[in-house]
Amino acid sequence: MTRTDMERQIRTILTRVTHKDVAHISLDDDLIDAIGIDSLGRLEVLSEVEEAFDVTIYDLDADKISTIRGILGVVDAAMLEPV
Amino acid sequence: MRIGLIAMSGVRVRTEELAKLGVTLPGFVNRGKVIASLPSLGLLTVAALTPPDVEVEYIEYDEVPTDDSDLPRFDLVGLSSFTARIDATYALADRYRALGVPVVLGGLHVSLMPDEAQAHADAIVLDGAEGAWPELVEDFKAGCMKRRYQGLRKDVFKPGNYAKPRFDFLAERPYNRVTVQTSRGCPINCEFCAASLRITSSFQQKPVPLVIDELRSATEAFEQPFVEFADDNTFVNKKWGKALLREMAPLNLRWFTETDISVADDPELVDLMADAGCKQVLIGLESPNQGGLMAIDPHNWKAKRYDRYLSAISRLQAAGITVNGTFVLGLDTHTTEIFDELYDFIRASNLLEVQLTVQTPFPGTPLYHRLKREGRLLQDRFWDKCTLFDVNFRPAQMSVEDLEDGFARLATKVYSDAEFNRRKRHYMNLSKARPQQYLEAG
Repeated sequence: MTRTDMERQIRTILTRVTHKDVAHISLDDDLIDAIGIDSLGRLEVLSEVEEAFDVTIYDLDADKISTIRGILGVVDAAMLEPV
Repeated sequence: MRIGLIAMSGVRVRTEELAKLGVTLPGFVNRGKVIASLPSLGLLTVAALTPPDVEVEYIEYDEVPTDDSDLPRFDLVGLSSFTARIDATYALADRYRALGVPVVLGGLHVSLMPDEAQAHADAIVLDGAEGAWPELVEDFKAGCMKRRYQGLRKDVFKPGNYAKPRFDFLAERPYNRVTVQTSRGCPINCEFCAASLRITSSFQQKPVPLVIDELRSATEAFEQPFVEFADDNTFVNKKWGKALLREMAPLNLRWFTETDISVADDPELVDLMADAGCKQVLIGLESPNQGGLMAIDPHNWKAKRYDRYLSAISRLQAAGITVNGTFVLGLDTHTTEIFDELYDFIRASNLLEVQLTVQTPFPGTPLYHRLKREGRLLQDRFWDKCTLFDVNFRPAQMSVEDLEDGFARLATKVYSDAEFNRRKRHYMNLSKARPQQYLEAG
């Protein structure tokens, strides 16, 4: 899966959870400011991300998952975790 | 004629050690921050009850301007606040009166401590503003405002009394939650409760069409807002609850409310809540042991349901409704063992969010009167310490220091990154195991 595919999939999940169009937000836009996602919504997104990418994200630090780039980062890290 | 309605928001923990914990453990103060940042539904209702020929401005102050020249001027000012901020509210009332602006005080604390409040106001409104505010404004216009007005304690949502809160005042303000009230009061009647049951004579429930209309109005100024029901116990009447939830589902909202553990007894209700976008319920679990629950309400309602606590939490969270479990430390049956006991319970329950509080004798409550009678209040007047985190009384089976230290130690453990992440991980795993119907409802 390419980086672009991963990003597209994360955007799809964000739209499904928040019911908002996320096409316009950049990789570094804060998701709270941009689409008003709350802490519960973030956990729902991460659950779906885990399923989509078949990973387990251990780093649930809110600061690190506040942007699409941040979510990509924790997915990258999770993919490197030894199974 | 212009009326200024001013809400005093923000609560600060007074005990130094706890204040520091609040900085280092965000989970510790999260719920308090949410409450402090909510709009004042009471004053928005007062605004709606104001005759249409009167101009109304709604203001929220976390920090009050220190210079009198920065205070906005009105013909009449209405102030409301909760106990922890009432002294700051009185100070502002005194300043306005010194400037020649008449002041009206109302709200829960004022209703419970009317004589105290009267000293800082030209008039006070007791209990609901319904049945009092329109008359007060007309009297003021006629130059004959009385010192005290008795509002309604029942029938507040009946035609002729009810007014839809002025949600239009919320537009362009940075709220992350908007509030709607579906009921006032709670039949459980816990001894320590200082909420709306103290200003009602019986449980008051708003008709479903009014709630739906308010939800539409409250949310129209916001894109995908999170709704917080400003209730003490929303689903007392399960039949009414199901009718409301069926009407709410098409609104596609995400929402939070306070309720009691019995919602989990009704699988249809739980399904309807999830379908209608309920994301979190706050439930006053109060104590991790049955003994602690004895005598906190007149019928031992909570004690009788203690054995269902864990299964109810599990059922709700499995449906995608996270449970914010609230606990009261320092109940009369609590010894110093309560802190470890509660920690074990929280781990066993997998509650996503936890609200630890210290038993607080809010003035005017049955708990306050009992502790005063027993000579257990630490000070005569401690309103600014009614934060739910500061200790204001002598516990029955431990020292004040034991309670303060045990509370801080427990908070440090419960709100640590490791523990919170463990609870988040459990919730995420539940989300993945949830039937598709719940995921689509979110």
